[in-house]
Amino acid sequence: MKHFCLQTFGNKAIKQPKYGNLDRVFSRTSKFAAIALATVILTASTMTIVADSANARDINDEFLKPKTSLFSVYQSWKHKSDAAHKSETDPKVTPVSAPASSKTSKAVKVRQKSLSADITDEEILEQNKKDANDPLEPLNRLVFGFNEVLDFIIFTPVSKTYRTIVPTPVRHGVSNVIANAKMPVTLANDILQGEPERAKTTFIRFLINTTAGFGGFVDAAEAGGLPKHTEDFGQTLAVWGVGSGPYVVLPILGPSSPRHIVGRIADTAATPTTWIMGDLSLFEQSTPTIAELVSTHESLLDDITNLRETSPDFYASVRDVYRQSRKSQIANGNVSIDDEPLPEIPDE
Amino acid sequence: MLKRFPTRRTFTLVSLIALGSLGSPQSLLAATPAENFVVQVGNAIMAAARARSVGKFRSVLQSKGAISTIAIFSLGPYRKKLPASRKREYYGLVAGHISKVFAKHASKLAGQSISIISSRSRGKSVIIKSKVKYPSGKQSNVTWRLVKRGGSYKIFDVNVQGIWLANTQKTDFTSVLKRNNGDINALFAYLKK
Repeated sequence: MKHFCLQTFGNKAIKQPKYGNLDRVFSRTSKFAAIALATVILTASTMTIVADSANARDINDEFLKPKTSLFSVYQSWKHKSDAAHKSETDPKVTPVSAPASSKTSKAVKVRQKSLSADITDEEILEQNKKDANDPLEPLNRLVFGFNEVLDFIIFTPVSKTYRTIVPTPVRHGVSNVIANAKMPVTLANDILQGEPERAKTTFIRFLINTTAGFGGFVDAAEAGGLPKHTEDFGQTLAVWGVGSGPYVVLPILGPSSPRHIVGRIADTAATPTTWIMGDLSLFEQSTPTIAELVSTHESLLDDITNLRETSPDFYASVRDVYRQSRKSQIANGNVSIDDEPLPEIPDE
Repeated sequence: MLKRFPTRRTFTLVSLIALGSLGSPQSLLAATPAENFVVQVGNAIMAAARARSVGKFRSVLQSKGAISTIAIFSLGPYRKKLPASRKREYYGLVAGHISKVFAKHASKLAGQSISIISSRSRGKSVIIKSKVKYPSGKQSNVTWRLVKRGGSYKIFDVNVQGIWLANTQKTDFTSVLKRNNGDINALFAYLKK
């Protein structure tokens, strides 16, 4: 056989790399390292941008930001260092502690003003802008419109066909397989968020479902009392205190934010299928993403239809629902009774 | 040597410890009036959802919901645009609108039973966390925000699967007003649809 190969392809054809498949692995490692480095740079830039624009941020973003966080520590440090720097140049100024409530009190003032009857039309417009936190709204609406067309032409018909021809248990199975493939990402983010109990649950779920659950098709772990949960790097950044930034609508993927986009990139780099399918064609590499899009769209089809039918401005409703559900995901599905700033209740 | 028989004091102490270990103090205490109210409202809403009846939803909302407070909240910064003379009409339209939206989402509200997890006062309101069990066996967290109106509790807001409904309604109403330069008649026309 070796002789035949030598004759046919020459020596190069059967020459094995010195370290076998390690070369391919190193090639993938360098790809991953590049992606990871880009992610870290993007994260750092986002944190800096968000921190620098902190004073201009609106009430809505304040709602999304955790109270005790690396971000607030960074802000406190930044304020102290600014004050210290100022005190060096101006002897009258002494370093002070971070005014933790200054931004909050400003936000509360705006909210109280919105509750009062003497608010002017200009202030109403200003309040609307702040509530929306959507400086790219014209562009976002354009992309949203494009997504709506895609939804009408492709996603809804595909979802409906998928629902019609594939029985419910099989659809659940497909959804379970997709969720199981993402468990390593959830596990990494559980750890990064300092949640050992949830990390343990994810690890055991992955082991059980991959083996006893036939590669994740059956959610055997849930039946055993280990409920499913998901985490992503966007949520981890939020837990670390990185602000969400303004609302962004992505083509095909839909509602997002700079923090969420950075999270998506990191999660894609950390997903095992990205590595396993690294050498395949672009279409083959996109198969898991397409499967996930179709499966998720099908499961949300009724909710999307209901929201579209009952909402006077579908764009604004989707933006609101996205923000609220994202906030709920970051809080692991909990509504914090103690910490969450709730809207003011007006007097009748 | 004979063992000493436990005295009555020791016996009482042991009984109290045993009782305490049966469950949390909350489980031994009676539910608060706010918690009872939520169970009552929750059951009424689930019954209306199972019946898919707009009329039943409206009846529950008018008797148990703080409709005027929700209606004013939903106007956001545009609340000064509502003339006092049209308030009553507006409240009625809001009650009808919420009932229709609830009926549209009836399948999500058609639970089987409701149980209280915790409750806490928060400023002018009381926040109650509950768990709703569905016929399929699935469970969902539902959080309620109550306010006191006329000496009794009323529902101000409900959080289902992470979404506060009053906030969503505020987004809808303010977007109608924004697109129509704050014209309150446009909102009335939308609510009458």
